[in-house]
Amino acid sequence: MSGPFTHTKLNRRRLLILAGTASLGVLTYSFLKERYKSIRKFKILKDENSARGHLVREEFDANQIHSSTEVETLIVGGGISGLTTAYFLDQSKKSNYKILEADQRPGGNSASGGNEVSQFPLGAHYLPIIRNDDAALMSFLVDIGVVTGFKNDLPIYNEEFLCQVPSERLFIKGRWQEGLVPQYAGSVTELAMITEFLALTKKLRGQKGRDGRYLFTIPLDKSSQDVEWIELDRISFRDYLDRKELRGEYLNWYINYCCRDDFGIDAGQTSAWAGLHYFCSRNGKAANAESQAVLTWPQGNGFLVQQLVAKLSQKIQTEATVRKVVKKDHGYEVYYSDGELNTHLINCKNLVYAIPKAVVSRIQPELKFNHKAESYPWIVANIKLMRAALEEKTALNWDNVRFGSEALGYVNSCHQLLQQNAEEINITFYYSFSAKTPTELRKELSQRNENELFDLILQELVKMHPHIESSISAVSLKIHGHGMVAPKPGYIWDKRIQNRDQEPAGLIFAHTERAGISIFEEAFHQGLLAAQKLLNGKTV
Amino acid sequence: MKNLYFFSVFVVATCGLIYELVAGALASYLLGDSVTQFSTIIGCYLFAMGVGSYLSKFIKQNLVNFFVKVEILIGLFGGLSAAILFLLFDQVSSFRLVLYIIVFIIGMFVGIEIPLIMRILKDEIEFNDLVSKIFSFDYIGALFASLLFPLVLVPHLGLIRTALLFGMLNVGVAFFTLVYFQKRYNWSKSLLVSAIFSFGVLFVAFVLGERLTDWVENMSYGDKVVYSHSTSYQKILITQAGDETKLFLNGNLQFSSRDEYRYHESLVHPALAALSNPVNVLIFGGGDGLAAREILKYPSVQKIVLVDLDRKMTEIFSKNDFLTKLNQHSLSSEKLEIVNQDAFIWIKENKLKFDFIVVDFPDPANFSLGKLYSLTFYRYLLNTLNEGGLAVIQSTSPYVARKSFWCIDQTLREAGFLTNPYHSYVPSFGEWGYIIASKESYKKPLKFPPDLKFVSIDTLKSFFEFPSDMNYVNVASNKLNNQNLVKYFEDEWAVYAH
Repeated sequence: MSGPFTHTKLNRRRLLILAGTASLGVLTYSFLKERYKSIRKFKILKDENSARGHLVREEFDANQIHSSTEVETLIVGGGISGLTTAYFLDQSKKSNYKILEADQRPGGNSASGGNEVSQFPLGAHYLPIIRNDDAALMSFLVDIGVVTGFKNDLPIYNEEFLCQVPSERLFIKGRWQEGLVPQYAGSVTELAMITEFLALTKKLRGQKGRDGRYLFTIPLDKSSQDVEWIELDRISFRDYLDRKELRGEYLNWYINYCCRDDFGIDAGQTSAWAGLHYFCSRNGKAANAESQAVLTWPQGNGFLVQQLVAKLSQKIQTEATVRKVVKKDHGYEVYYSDGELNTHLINCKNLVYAIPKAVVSRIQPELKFNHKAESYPWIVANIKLMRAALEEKTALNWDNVRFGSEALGYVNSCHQLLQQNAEEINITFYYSFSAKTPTELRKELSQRNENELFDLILQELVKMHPHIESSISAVSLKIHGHGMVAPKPGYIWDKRIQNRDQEPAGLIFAHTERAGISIFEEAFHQGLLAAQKLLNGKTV
Repeated sequence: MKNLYFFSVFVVATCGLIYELVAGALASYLLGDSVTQFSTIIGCYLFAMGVGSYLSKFIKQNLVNFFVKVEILIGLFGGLSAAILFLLFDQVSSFRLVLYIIVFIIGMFVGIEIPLIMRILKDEIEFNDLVSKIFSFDYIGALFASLLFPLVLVPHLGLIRTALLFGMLNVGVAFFTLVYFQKRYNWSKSLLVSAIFSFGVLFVAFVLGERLTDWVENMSYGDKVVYSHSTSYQKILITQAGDETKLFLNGNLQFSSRDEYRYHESLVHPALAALSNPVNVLIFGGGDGLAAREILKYPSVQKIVLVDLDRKMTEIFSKNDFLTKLNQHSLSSEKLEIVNQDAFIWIKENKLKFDFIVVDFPDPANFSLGKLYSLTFYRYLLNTLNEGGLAVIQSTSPYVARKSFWCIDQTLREAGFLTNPYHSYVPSFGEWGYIIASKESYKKPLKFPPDLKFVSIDTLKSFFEFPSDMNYVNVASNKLNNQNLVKYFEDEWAVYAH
């Protein structure tokens, strides 16, 4: 046969060409695929601020002073405790103060950012409804419209701020369950352990010590000093639970998750007293919410920051890094660098340090501290994406966590918006690191570029949502080199006794590390306490 | 290599039938009435094949070259046919014309294929053998395609990607013909390039085709779809069968032109006719303009503000001839102001007060819609209503969703309203519920505008009577932080194929 379709053999040349073309095709394909993978179609922004913060480590030469001013009270640090100090000074019409903040925006761990879709948190993102015996905080919440009135002595919270339903879901064994306490497909023993632990915390929540004070309250200063309970600050939460024979995979993960979420360290590193405080100190009651309800906003606690700032009579000086503080006869000389690194001098009578002591000891070296608080690094990632990617099987919740995860999951920053769901939303992903020393971890994180850091987060996200990457359109990473204070065994109570009232004249410490737990309420009370000291005539 | 050749006959035959099935299924999906669609598509396709067979005699030389070209063209047209038809469905006025043209072109090329192959092979294989083999493979291919199509292809790939896959196979036949007979024929390079290019186009479309397919597979409306548009909030779909027009939002029936007057008269008149001199009116939702049509029957009304999230919705109900006939051009009334904004955001910022408010949102089928039935929303609603004014809230079916209905009532009362729940029968929906909310007590109207088809002093009496199968039940109110209503609604409607 010799027709056109009676082909007999491939000759060698043609075979080579075919093979060559084919392998070239395969190569090109795999190359393009790899390239397509490594080039993300969205931008990743990274905000570290360590450059400004670390200015305090550099040599400082106060030769050229651009301006020199005087103020009665200078507040260093524009986080919650600094802002609250100013808030209470204003309440008493003592408005001769100034606030310096090293970051571009006030708020500290409660700061917030935003894009065209919504505002979003850069750190803390909720406030549980507060204890009813916390009168100062209650009147602040009334002042800013978070509490709108009272019914039978119980506060009525603004329902636009109470976390909307659906609030929490946990991805466990391949499906989503309601609530973060692991339940789904748990063995009888696992579930019994969880129940027993929750019953224990419920019992301790209302319990008082031999001195008649609550075992665990907020501000924690007011907690019982009963030695039997204070001693729990010497052992780890893990050891405490072991003693109580509270074990199991579900309970273990849950306790670890809670500790990492609130302190940045796991249960083995956390003091048992601090761990119990987390579970047993919140017992607020409301006329229109469950007792464990939380208040939250698109910008997280950035909302509270904005409300505080709006109430203040004085502007906050941002990008102002204090470099050196000199004690004088009748006050302090404070030198700071502005955003252009020009030096300014402020003479003040009173000085409030609403910053960690580790920083204080660099700018005022004569102050010596026996114990410095430790704090571990965090990453907070705000991710703009298509909502549908997160709603494959169940509706998107406010808080979305994966069982067994080392990370902390994500919140939907658009959850509290009142309008109908938009296609595009922001989610805020939280990751705390505590497997090594804080210094090692900070070094490791600083060596990774934004793509590598985001890979860490993406690895977590795809376990919950396999197809998430293609729906992402923007990412901004906030690196907290120093997150909240880590209440390791001994930190809260041993040190409190040693450090109490060690403040020189005209100088006040107001940072939450003084309390030992970085929560909004403690920061608020540190600010209140600082203001009271100023007003009650330490010096003002 | 004869076998390879017969295999290509098999492939070509399979592809040909697949395109026909795709076109038939697609026309049934989009236009409804599958018997008519399949029968006209098959007719058109077979006729086009006949035309193709006839035309094949005019091809005198370069038969193999022509065969390659035909394969590439079939691959492109057939492969992209489903995607093109779906994309054009919304855009062109005479969709049927486009459909039949595309079907005809594919049919014609397929008709050329077999005669061409027979002529190419006629010198190499004995005629008896050739005819028997070619037709055997042709029919085997047809059987293969007809089994593969409903059992494997449509469920797994969907229509669009099925067509694209077979388009790639057609181009593949062209490509292998080119490669294997490279030596025998001095192919022009452009033929190879166009084969590769066509394959690339089909491949890319195949990768991207999934999203389109998802959308298509969700459509299964019995009637002819006359309008379909997806906005960022919802999917608007209008169907027509005979003189009946239906509006669907996200697949849920909003009205049928046959009995919508029952719904809209019931919604508007029991409250509005009870007001002595209503001047300012607010409508939430109601972008179809049908509630506005009823409200415009009151000469005292000076101003209607219509707040509807979806611009597209108010646009088509202002412009489309058929729809404006239905709403009697209410959306073009000088008294009416359209605000395309989210209702919650609008009411939160609003400072105006109204004598009459219609709250006509979609049912609380998800947490997002549930917000519009919350205590927080109703507190704002209370502030938006004049002292002697009335608001009416569409409140789902008290028969199907009894708890949901009374949950809305409970929530309104908690917000500070006095409520007067009522119901009426709308054949398309069944027993439907509404609630009149007011600050001062409500008194039934003594007269209605003339020419109402359903609501009257007599029918009104039965509206406020609740038989015991839908009477009051004690339920919790709906708040943003419990969304009780959505939970009730899901449970109660779950038993119905919704």
